[in-house]
Amino acid sequence: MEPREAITILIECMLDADRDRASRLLGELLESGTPAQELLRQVLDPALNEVGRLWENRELSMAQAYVGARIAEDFLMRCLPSEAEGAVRPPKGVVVIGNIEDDFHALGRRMVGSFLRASGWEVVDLGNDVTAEVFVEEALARGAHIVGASAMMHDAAMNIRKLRELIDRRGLAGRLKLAVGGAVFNWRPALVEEVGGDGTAANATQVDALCDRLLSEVRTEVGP
Amino acid sequence: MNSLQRVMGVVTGQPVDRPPVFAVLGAYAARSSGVPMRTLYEDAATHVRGQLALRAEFGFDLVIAPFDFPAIGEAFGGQTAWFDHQAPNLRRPAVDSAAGAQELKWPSPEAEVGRLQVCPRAAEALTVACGSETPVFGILPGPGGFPALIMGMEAWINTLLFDPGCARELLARSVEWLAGWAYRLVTAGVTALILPEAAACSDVLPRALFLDMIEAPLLSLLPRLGAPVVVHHAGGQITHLLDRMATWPILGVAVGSRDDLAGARGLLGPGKLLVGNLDNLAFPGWSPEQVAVEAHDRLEQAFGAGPFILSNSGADLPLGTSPETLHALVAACKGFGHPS
Repeated sequence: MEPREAITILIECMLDADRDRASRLLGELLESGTPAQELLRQVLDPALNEVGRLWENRELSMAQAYVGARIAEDFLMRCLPSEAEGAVRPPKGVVVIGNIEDDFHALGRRMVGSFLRASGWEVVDLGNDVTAEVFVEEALARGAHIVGASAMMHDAAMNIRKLRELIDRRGLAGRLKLAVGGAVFNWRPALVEEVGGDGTAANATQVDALCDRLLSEVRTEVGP
Repeated sequence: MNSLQRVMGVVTGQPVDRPPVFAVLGAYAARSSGVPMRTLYEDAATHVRGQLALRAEFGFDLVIAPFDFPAIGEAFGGQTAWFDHQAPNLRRPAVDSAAGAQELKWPSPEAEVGRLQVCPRAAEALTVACGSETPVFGILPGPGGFPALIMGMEAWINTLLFDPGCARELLARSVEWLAGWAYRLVTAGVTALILPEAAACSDVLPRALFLDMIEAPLLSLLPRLGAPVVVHHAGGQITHLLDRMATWPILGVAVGSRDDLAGARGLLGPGKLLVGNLDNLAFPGWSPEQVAVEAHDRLEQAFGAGPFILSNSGADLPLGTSPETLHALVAACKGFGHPS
């Protein structure tokens, strides 16, 4: 099967919420001898890019994107080599994510985690209602250069300012970038600047590109 | 003409003195009165005093019983998160799986558990206090989003997508529970019910999945609610289902700020009430002059094309909204059609 055909089928699976068909597709591709790592690059990545485009154009619902995230996780589980097998691809970097203090809307954050892992990042998920102090301490402990703070509602989003202030007060602005996201930022993009975010993404599939950019900025500012 | 006459006039196609206007001001009472947020949502009398004070201060045409779905989640065993400057939220649902929701003993809608009865008690007191002059609206969740209050959104979406049989069982139980809950509100005297249906947002579920899984349970619930119903966008866009809603036995639809009012009217037909659609999140940044411009724009689009109530689109209005902006919103309606 040509990659283009596989991509088309995989996107159909995501849109139709057909996880079983996606699993069968992956089995066929692996049996045909396509290297697992190549499947991630040639099939999963382009499919996720298309899903992201549809989501950004509001042609995709959260439920369909959720299916996309589950299918991406299935692909990863079967395609990434285990540590025991060796040849584990080093992560692109470490990203610490969580819902900011007073926010309890976990679904979007969990989807971000899935898509980031699918894109090769090591993800530390701190869960809901995370204070600025915990974000920063975990980021430093894990060697992360990116923290991702999520909020669904406006008032909770304003708590991200505490995280911005803490990063600045501790002199970490150059080496620890603040990604912000959640429904409220899509509705009101000016909020990104109001809370001091270094960047945002319209949806979970675009967070990989955002993290690429932020990590690049860190390397420019403080070196690799 | 009082608010009840104005709203009834609009929905029945009779002449009114001005367009009716409404804003979701539940938590806002904490800002106006200085009452702690928790007291406002735990004590029916405090909520009623807050609504009456807001009505007296601003003159909006509707008052609401508590918009407090976390109280329902809490009654099932969940945990509520409290804040100083926003309405409560559900910190943790009672269970984290569909199996857990099925095994859970669901409380009766009449049960004295947690804050569950605050809402009908407040509705009854509001009806007594002002129901003869101002419509009192009760708010209850739609069945498509209701299981998320018990098991969380992720588990519910997962069930809808990958275990439709189980999802249908939970939807059927949800319909029964909500019919009982609506009975509590209707017997308390509410004029109408607002039904936020998260599953009806195009941002949440695709149309096909809504039609396959949600529409039938919702349609089975509507005739059992015992009061006129306004289906609410629940924070997203709802245009993709308006052609279906045109055939539902409902009073009308509250559309989101990204839904187009003229397009919505075209899909909904001329008879049903349309409510909306000022951007909730924009309110704190709007000056009185800006809100007047926005209000005028919506009224130009929608008032006169069919039954219409100007409103914010969203849940509770952010507390950062200034009283001057709210006064300007009401003034815009009072001045609409009357050149200054």
